[in-house]
Amino acid sequence: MELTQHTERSYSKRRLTRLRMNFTVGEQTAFQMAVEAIRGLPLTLPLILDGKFIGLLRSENNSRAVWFSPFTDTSSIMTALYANQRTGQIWYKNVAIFSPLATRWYDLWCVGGDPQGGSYTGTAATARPLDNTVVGGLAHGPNVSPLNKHIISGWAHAFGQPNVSYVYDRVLTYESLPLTSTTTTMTNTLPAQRYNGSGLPGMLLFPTLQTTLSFAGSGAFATLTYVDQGGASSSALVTSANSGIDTHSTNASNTVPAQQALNNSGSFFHPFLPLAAGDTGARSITSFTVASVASSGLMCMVLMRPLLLVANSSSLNPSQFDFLRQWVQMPIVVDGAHISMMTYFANSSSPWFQGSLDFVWG
Amino acid sequence: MRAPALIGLLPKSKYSAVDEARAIRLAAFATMGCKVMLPVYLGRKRLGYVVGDPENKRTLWFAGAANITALRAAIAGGQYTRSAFFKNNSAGGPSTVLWYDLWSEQGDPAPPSSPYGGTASTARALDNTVIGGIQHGPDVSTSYFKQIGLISASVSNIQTLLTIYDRVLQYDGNPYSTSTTTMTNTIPPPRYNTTGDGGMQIMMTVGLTGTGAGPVALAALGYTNDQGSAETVPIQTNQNTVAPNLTAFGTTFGAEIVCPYSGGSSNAVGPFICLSQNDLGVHNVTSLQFSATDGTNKCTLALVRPIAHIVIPNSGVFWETDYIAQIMNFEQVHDKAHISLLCYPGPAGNVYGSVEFVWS
Repeated sequence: MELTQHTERSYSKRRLTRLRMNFTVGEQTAFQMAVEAIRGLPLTLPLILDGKFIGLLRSENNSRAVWFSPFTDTSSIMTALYANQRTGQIWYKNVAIFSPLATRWYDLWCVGGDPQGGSYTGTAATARPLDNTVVGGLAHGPNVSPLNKHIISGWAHAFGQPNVSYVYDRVLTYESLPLTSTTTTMTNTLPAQRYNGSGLPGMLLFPTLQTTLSFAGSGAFATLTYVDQGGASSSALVTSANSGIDTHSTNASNTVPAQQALNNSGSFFHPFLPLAAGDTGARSITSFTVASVASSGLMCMVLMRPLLLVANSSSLNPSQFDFLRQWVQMPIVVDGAHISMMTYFANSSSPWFQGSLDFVWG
Repeated sequence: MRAPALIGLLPKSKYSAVDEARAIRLAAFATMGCKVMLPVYLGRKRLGYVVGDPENKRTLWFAGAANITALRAAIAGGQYTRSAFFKNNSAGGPSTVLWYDLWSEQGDPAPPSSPYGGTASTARALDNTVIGGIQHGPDVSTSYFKQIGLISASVSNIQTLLTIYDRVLQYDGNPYSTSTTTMTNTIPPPRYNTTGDGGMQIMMTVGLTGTGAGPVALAALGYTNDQGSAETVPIQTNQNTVAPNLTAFGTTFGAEIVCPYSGGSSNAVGPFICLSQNDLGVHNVTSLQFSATDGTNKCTLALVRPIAHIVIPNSGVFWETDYIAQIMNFEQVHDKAHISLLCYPGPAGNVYGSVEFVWS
């Protein structure tokens, strides 16, 4: 069974009464036994009856039990949609007066449109967590925990630009990073608000050019240390082949996206710094050094979690996507997610991007 | 013992109608006074939904299909209607890189005789009794949930995207003025006027006349969001320009969307005005102001709710999107909805198609 609204009230007799009418007798007995089993323990317990998964029961703060049932089939998704547990958002990013470099990844976060362009207002080399209240993220509806929110469908179009795009959650940034001869040590007073905890995957490292970078020769990372998804100190697999830093002559702004910083020996298809073997992500960046000093310019390190990878092979036709049946992904959008886009430009045409995303929770 | 299922019928519940009624009554009691939608289950069978409506001191009941099979059964049982539409762009193509509102374009449905002739800057509501909307069947909301089942469409000269929307509220005759134009909101929106319902989007089009040479930009636009709070749209550099040199609406090609506009070349980048961070939609517009005047030209603000989209990747060929088996969206089509079409890029040729509305 599903609850259509999670309340903050503690588990009460009235709440049990509301649940009782929606359970079979067997399910109710199983539910009561499970509540007793997790009392006082920080546990999430799956409830299985007669081999059938019913839902999850989680104990919180030793004072209440929270019940929720993730989507188990199409019918449960239909239930949520009929209950208006959904929203659809049309978005656009206007890059129409900017000519990109072909075959580069560009972060569209700062570009104006809908959502608005974000601004680099963080303190230099200081962790800046972002959520959906920060300007620049796509609206995706209310916080729904303990329910899960998913992206289930959408369409996308880039006029004149076949492209592939990530829709991603911009979790943490370190802005205004100069590339100097000394070690840049990050200030991590504020932790990431999502994907940051035991059993969670952490974030990928996406360095971008915030303003024009100039090097005497060529730029490159030398070292980068981070805290991995498990909380241990780790180092990015920086090599001369995969960690070059590119330059670009245009500053990121309301009409100019932020180009990827990585130059992988002249290839720009992979925008992420390689993590240590076995790591799935990072919780934070500790420090980094560069092999070449930049005479000017600033970099921004984005810690992000990809939600979708969408290919749009036509420069004229929009593409429509179904993430429920066609590409069975149903990416989970965590409460507070700061959703943005990054795009691989195929050519130097000045495009504008637009599309829609449909969200459902249950 | 469960009763055997008869061919063509869903299996009978082991619970009686009295049990079901008791479950529904208890669910209604639980949601009384709370604006909560609660599914009612009995023996793993979803009976339907109850939802509290405290403003009207009532609890509502409605059913939706329990699964795809039940939804298909509802369709097979005649709970659907299919409406064809045709928009006649016989005069040839307008700019192909703009969004166009086809509501005022000739065809079927025919547009109102004076589509933008409402009292200036005054909210007027639209429903399915107003000329110009695609018909979608009877009022069913007391018992059923109406949604789009299937869309098929073709555009004769260009690949395009069609958006089907509910046109709820309209403000006509708004001047491009550097003074603040205050909207008159005597009439509330007839739909999407409940706190937290996601509200509507703001669409700005040419109206009785177009725009001049410009440049004109949006300076301020105030609205009430779907949470009931007063907000203003963000004014973004290069993103709030009003497209210049647009033609007044024409019955042969509809109404161009004037803002947002890229400012760099002849292109409108999105159909709707960007709202304040985290706002999903609006309930009304309260004020409007521009950075410069533009003669006697006027614009129209329409508050709309997008319902579905269909991509037409090749011109002159019919394409279909199944909104049950292909794209599971289930945006509700409300009773009295005034259904119309947006088109991007602008239709260089005629637009044909049909929409199937189903209820369960």
